[in-house]
Amino acid sequence: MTLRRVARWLATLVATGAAWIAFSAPAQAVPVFARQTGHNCEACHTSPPELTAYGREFKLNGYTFGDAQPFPIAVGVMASIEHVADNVDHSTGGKLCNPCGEAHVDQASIYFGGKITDNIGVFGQWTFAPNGSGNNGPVGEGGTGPWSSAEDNTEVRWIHRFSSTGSGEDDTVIGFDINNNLTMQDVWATVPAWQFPGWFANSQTGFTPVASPLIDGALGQRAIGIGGYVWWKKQIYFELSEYQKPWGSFSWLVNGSGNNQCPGSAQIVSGCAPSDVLDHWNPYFRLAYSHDWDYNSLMIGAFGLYAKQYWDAAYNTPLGVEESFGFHTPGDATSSYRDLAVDWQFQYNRNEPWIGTIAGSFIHETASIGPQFANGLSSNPSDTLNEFKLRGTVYYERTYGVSLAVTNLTGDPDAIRYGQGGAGGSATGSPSSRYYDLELDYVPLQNMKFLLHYTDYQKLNGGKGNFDGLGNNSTGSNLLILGIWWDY
Amino acid sequence: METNMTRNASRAAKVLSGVVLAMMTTFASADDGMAATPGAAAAAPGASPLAIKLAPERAHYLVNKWCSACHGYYGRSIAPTFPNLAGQSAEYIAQELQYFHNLTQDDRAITHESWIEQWLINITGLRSKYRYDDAPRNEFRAWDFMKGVARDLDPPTMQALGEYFAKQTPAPGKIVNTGDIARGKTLYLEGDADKGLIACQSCHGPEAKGQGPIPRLAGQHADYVYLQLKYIQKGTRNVEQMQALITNLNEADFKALAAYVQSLN
Repeated sequence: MTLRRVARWLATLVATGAAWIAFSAPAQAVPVFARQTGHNCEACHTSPPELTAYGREFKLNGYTFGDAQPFPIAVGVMASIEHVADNVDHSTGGKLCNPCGEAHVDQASIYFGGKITDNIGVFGQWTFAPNGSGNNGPVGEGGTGPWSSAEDNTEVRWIHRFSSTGSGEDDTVIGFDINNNLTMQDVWATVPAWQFPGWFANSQTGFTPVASPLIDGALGQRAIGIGGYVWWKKQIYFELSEYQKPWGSFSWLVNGSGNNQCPGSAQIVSGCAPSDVLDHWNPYFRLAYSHDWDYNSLMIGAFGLYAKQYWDAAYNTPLGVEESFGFHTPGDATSSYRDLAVDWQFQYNRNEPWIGTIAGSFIHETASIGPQFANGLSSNPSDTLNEFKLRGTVYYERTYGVSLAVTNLTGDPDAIRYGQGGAGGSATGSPSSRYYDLELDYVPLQNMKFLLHYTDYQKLNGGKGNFDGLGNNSTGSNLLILGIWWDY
Repeated sequence: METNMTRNASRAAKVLSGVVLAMMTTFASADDGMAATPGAAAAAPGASPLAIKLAPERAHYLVNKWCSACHGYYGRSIAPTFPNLAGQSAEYIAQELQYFHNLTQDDRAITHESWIEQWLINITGLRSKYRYDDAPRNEFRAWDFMKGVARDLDPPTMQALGEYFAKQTPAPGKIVNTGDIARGKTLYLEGDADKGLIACQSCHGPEAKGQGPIPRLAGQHADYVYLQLKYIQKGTRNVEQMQALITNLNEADFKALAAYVQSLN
């Protein structure tokens, strides 16, 4: 994307923003929830999207504090310039990342929702993003061409408050939730949907880890979750949900993603990921214990997913589900993924002048992939994978921030699944990766953040030097991002 | 004679007006039972009898739904960011809510910005976030949280909220080691003539229970009290009567006073 295009985009956004200023007086200079509640961003966020204790209350109460807005719309944009340490794919001599080094917009979103009634609230996001990743230049220059837009994280909540002791003081919230991204309904920044370093949606990278637990992103806008939760005395959070392929009247939740148009088995090869053919019943649970004292909030929790996926031997691929509700036909083999995780978060939020967070998670996945094994798409009938993440963040006067994080992946070697037989894959079949993220933030206005983010791949897909056996080094994909994130 | 058509038309009109009315009711009920026209109620001290009658119920609804998210169940909060309200003077709470309600953008200072921030404010037309030390008339929490909460409250509801919290059991006293409690006790009960401080108890009462527009301090979070003293001394929280009295007090004095009042039941 050229600078001229960026300028055009920004001009459009500024004009749109100006229109909103005119429409939404006496709004604060922040998006839809802030206009609804009259709060500043800092009330609910330490650093978006991480939530404060009050932000967690707001979300678990279904976004229903404050006044329903007549025009509940906000916009957000992320733009950046990236630099890859060694922007050459040594197996081909071509570029790893294009257009790295040019200013471009990574994504632009329209937010909608907030309070609908006293008991119903919506968080919605519609996002415009470049097609694919790796090469988003114009078609004529070898890129994948135009942008596409699609439903992004979206959820609808219904809540009810009551007194568990009969005292008349409501101390318990129960809620019902429909969403389109596994874990987006959670309120702690330790679950895959809200975990650093995924906060900034940069679209340009070099090589990245090939292995990832199913629960970490693979189901985003590819499965619909329906569930209920209870939030008891601000201490215990328990949720049960089930995820399934987007079907029938819920398919609007994945509009634009193409995932609601993948039912035919003949189509599965083009565009439908394996997760589209989940069984109709994939349970997810979440249990968390939260303890607040003084300016501190501590959470220790666990969550897990058991997902089943059907295979159709005739196509040698995951089964495309022609039946409208995702039922399989008798005799189809199944693969299953059992992801179990523990997570923890500590926040210090005195705020004059320091705040800080330490957050982490450990996910253990057991993938029983008999069908893949039988069809030559896996080296083992079952694989295990471990993902560990730990992050520390501090902010001074909510203006200057530093975050440091480590991500570590280990697991059973699987030459076919992780080797990919090509550039960026694992020469040894090992899924092991370890990388560090360092981010410096400058937040001059409460809804505008500048960031300088560096990712250091100490180990990528099983190795450091020549990790793919084709001449690429892990540190060659080290990534520097200069980004801006603006919401209005 | 009325034709079928006109009958149908009038029936349709009735249905339609019913739907519109239902929608209006829905939207009205979606505003937390707050006044639909903020400002109008505030300008009218003689609120309608119905508003006054419904205020306690509205207040309790708001407490359960919104206030308790920060101020805790029964107005006994956990984080010192948020003051304990249980047992607080009703008049003081109503007065502060009215004050939050009346805040305007102009009350927020834009000072001490770096040149980058000044430049961004100029080109975007967006207000900066305030710096905690600089807000001219109130501390940051008023802006982060309370301005929005009080935005659409009417005076009867403010009064009813005050009365709800006033009758709750206050948070018990707690010994904290952030300040010299003995020194705080002396300052509170006797003042300090050298520093121009009259005894705090002369307004807040010997047991720091407050009354009328004077807030209760007993059992309040020490760090909250400490920060309020700092803001008042700087003038970032505008309480002129107190500012003059505590001009010469230092950090240690503030911490001592704060620790002492939290130790009181």
